[in-house]
Amino acid sequence: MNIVTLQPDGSVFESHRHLSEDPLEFLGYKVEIAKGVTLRAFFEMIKKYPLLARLNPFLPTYLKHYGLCAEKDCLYPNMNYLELDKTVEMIGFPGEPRLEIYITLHGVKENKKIDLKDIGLDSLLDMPLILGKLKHVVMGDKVDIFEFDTVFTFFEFIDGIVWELSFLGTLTGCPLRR
Amino acid sequence: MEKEKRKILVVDDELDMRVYISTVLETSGYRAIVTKNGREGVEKAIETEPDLIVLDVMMPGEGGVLMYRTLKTDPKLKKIPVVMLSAVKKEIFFHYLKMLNVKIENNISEPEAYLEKPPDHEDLLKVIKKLLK
Amino acid sequence: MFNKILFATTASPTCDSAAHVAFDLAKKYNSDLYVYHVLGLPSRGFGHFAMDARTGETEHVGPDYEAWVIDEIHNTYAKQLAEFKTAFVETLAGVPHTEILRKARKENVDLIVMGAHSREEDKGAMRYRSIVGSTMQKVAKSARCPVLIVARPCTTCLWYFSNIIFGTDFSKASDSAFTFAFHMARHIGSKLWIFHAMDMSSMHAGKVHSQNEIEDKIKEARKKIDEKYVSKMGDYDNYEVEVWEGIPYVEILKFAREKNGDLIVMAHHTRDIDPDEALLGSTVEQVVLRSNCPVASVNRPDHADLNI
Repeated sequence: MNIVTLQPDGSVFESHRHLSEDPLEFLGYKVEIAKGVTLRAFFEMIKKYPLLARLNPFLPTYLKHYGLCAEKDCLYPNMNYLELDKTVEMIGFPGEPRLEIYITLHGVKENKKIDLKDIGLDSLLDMPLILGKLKHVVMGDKVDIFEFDTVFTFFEFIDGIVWELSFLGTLTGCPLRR
Repeated sequence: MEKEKRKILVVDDELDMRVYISTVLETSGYRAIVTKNGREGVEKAIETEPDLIVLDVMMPGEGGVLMYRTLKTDPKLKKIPVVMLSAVKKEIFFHYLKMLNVKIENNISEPEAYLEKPPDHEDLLKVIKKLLK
Repeated sequence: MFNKILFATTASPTCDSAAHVAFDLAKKYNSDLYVYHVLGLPSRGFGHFAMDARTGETEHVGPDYEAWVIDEIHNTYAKQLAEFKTAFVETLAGVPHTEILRKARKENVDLIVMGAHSREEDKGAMRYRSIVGSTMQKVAKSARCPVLIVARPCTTCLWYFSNIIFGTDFSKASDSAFTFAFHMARHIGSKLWIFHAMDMSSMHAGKVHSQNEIEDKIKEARKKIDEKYVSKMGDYDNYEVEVWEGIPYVEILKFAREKNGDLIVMAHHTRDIDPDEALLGSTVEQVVLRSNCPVASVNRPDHADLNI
């Protein structure tokens, strides 16, 4: 119940119902992603549901960049897949410690995390996209992190991905200047 | 002949804290060995066999927890008393230690002493004196 | 161009990118470089202790901890210091922002270079936290010279600088930012991009603007830019003016990325606030968070003209 599923072509289903143009009422639903979904599906989804592009001021720009990228083989050689994670971590020292919950998108290669910011969109679009677990980081220990299955809402899914995307540089990177 | 100074290994990622603690130690007749992360800390512990370790448990990256676990699961190193420094209250720290022990197989023991950061220099010296007796 | 640069560091890895920029700039412009660490000693109990150790009014014969810190800084920046031997490495115990500002004033530095915050954080974790630490906040607010904030490793080629992006909101502080950007561009021969982002959403909330309205506003902004800035550039012609519509920090980042900007110069805070009261603007913070190049925050006219 209360689940939406993202398909590889970017369409979103709720039960067996294909979502119409207005997906807003489903933002609080649990999101699942079908097998075969890549980052490309995320952009196709934004194209199919243009209202979603208003969730973040960077989305329209990235949609434009997406339009300029190749239609296939946008892969990063040293990565297995893209993972969206939730982390619960105690922070705040000095000062009163508090627990924060935040979402990150990163690449994964053989259990190692890869930061995306220096990778262009055109190397990420066809990477498989999966929903990861909730990681409870205890005292900064990144070795035996507690991991739990968890729920991502449709909103968290979109918002978490675009937060990471807002850090990516341009498609063209840094050309040598004379 | 001068009595040999007791060696205390200090592990903290913040420069200012390393300076503070080592100054407190050196001016009280101890020899301070200083490192800035858990990995170096473990190496130095093996190399220098200190009489006591002052460890900041919540360093980013190569965390203090990993070093602490390494210390407490090594047959030789676990005998070295550890003064744990942390910016969180003792109850929170020990709660987290319990959680950690739920997850891992070999339970790690509580540190011999626990002080909140920044430690008062008199408290620190009192605790060290007691543990080195 | 920069006679004196103050690089304020915590000597932790978060200052590595700032160190890179500081040393490179000093090398390129033959500046005097101060590598300055303020020892923020814990207040509880140690202030008294430190005072005693320094004035000698203690029974302990303490080690010279300042020499110890300087040693550590030499170790941290061994590589850079080997290539740039005329840096002054100094340290002082005290409240970081107070001492940094004091040192900057004393040496009359032209530029302060700093990292944004003191601990490494995951990008997701940064979201709800202050992007710049309190030391940076206070330094940027009261500095009598521009402050260069280096939050991340610069992915732009370090030509220092070939494309300077000056983002303006037409505030008074923007005037000083312009002076700084222009003098740098002219001295180096860089391309100066004068950029203004029109945030239509804040002007008339909820109202839908016609294309004509937007175009009129753009024309108005361009006129303002001509009057305020271009008129002061004399015969310098290596510049371009652009006005975009959108949320300022988003547009500045897009623009800087598109034009391969290697320096973004901005006013410290937005219009109509007393510079002594103003906090670092949220636009600056948002740009600092994501920018691939250093961001210069300019709050006052002092040193903006680089004494050229």
